[in-house]
Amino acid sequence: MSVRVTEAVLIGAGLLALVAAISLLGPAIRHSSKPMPTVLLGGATRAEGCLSCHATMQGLGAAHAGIGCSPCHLGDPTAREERIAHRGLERLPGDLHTSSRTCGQGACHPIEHARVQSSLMARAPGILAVDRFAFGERPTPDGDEADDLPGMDLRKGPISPAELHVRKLCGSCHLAARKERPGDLGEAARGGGCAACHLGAPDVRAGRTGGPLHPDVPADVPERRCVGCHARSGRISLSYRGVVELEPGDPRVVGALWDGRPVGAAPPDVHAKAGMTCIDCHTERELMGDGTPHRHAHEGLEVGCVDCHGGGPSPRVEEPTTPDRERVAELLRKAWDRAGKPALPDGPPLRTRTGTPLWRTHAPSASLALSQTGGRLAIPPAKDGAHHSIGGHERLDCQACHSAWAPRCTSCHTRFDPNGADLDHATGLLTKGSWIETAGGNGLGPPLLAVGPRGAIGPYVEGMRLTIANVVEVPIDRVLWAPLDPHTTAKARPCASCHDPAAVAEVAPSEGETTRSAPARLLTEEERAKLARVGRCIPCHSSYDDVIWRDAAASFSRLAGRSAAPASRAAHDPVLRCRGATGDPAARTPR
Amino acid sequence: MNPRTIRITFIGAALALGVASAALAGRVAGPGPTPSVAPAEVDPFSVAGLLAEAPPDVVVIVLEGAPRHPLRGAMPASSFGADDEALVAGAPKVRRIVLAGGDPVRVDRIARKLSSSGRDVRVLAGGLGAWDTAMDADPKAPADGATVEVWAAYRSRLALRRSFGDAAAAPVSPFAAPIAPIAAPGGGGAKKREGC
Repeated sequence: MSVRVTEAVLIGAGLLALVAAISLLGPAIRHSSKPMPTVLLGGATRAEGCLSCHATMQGLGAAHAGIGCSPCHLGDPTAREERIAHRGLERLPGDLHTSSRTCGQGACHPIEHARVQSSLMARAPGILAVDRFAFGERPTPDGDEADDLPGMDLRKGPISPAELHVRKLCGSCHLAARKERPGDLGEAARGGGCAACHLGAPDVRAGRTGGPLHPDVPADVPERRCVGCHARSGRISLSYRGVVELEPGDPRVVGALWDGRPVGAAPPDVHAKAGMTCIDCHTERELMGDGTPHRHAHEGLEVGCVDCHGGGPSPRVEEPTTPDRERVAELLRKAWDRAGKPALPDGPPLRTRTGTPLWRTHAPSASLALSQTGGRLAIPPAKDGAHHSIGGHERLDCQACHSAWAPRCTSCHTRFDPNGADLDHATGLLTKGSWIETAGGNGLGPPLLAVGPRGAIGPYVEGMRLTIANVVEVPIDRVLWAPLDPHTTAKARPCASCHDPAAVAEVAPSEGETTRSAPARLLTEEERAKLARVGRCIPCHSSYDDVIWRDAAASFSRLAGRSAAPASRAAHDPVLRCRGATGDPAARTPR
Repeated sequence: MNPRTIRITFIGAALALGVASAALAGRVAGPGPTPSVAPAEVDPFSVAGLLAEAPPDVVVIVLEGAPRHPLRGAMPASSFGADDEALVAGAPKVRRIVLAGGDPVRVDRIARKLSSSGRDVRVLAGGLGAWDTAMDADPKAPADGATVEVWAAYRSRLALRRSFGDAAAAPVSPFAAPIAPIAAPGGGGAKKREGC
């Protein structure tokens, strides 16, 4: 080929490359010359290049729809190239490892973020504290600063048996755990930080466009977010809906949970039947924390039955208490309005004893706007009557009588297989050792009674009635009882269900320990004898209005002191001698 | 400078400029929004109608969860692989697909991916919750003066409701495929176990 032809070919190739480059560069130049999209965040305008590609995304509600992507998903919003823009992308916004830069950043929710970090649900300190107590590693279940699940030092070793137990079987049930993958994982979801609760179906009320869907980040938390974690241990999310875990093969089994556990049906909680979900009772301060690092749930619990239903000391406080509580209530009211729910009536709300406004309630009309539907629900006041003022019952929690049933598991054998392997919930790594649990009878029954951690007699269930073998030098065999509000509220249980003299041992356990420290304790022998003594009168004096219950102590005293009328003495003589109504052990032997 | 040197310089400059421009174009050009079409929706009775055909001219894929009233003939997503990518890669290419699931975001995302790969994809409107609601009770009968078409539609829906919603009345289907628990996406490795 001549030099001239070669030159012509090269010139042609160069020109072709130039034309191709220009055609390729065109869109790039147009793309880069387009003004960078911006958003308004915290009153300041900022570049949000993400919207160059993702502007059609739909589904975020009004609160979050206008802030773009990077405030939650991080990355580099100033970049025009996907690879650079996606550097440092957070696929799981709300995760507590990055939430100080996402949900918790100064322009958004810094106060809530700080509270969540120290909340019970983020740290779950009680799980580890009670487990260490159960394994005999601690003398009390009180716990200390080292009991935070997210605070466990994952590099240290060897770890204690209790820590190994928690890490292999329970360690995912806290907000600080990293969620497995994005999206609505339903009941299988564990962890996820803010998004563990604040994750909703896409908000497309305004009509769907053609863009891809994005989950909403709602202020109101659907019950679906709570069910997964709270279907274990006390199983309150199941009981509330009238679902009870049973053993395989039990004839009462009617179905299975998402994870295969067989379940049967039981009466649901009256609040569930009324359409209420978890956040209709539980305040954001309970769920997201109040800034105090509590160790057990009862310490952080602030709402009580009397706050809505009355019957306690001055529950319907109407004066604003603290600015923070008022500010949050106001924010939540605004979120309610933005969500297009029915307008809340003017007027003061009911408040908890600590002063937190139950912001969807309306004190003058004693009503509640249901969180999910906005429908109004009348709140019935507690009835005045002898049943609520009867002597001795002032020591009872409402739930002592008003819990219809509780999930019961009579025994649990746990052994450790050092040759097995299981995933460590804390690290996600498969590590040596596997726990093998053998449940001894999941079912249901009447709640037990003992003194709860706040000093009132309340419902209890088997906490850990367990033997632990193969992991500690001396096998552990102990009986622990756990306070539990079973979330099965109903009309009060019959008197005889607690006061049956023949079944006191089954109602009020006498052996074992409670999983909370004093004032929590089992009933004393004297208290159990009182239970039985009352029970002996109930067959004849079954009405709360019966004259003998106006002053039960005086009635018993009269009877024991033989100060009653001769006719009465004659009538009670067989009872006194046969059934030991006076509590005199010598009189208890039947003829 | 002789003309030959000038020509060579120009050629070299043109080539260099071309190469540099092409490289720059590839680097600066933004990705642009992925072409994405919102998936069409089908109501529960239409899905039931499709499944009732023998053989059904559709593959109904359940992404997660199990409806109370089984979608007889539907296939669990796990049968295509351990994660969403495997589903997108392995879903049938020549038959219509209906996606059903509880997470509308995930359903939407997978439907778009399937659509962009040329599949004919619809999604069950309202997800599995809508399916269960539709199959819970017989549809309301039309008013007396309703047209023949309305009555025909009612009768069709009634038959489908009883077939799919009433386990006792359901026919034995040669295409029945029990919906197995869906494997969690993310690989077929060991799963975390939970204690009591």
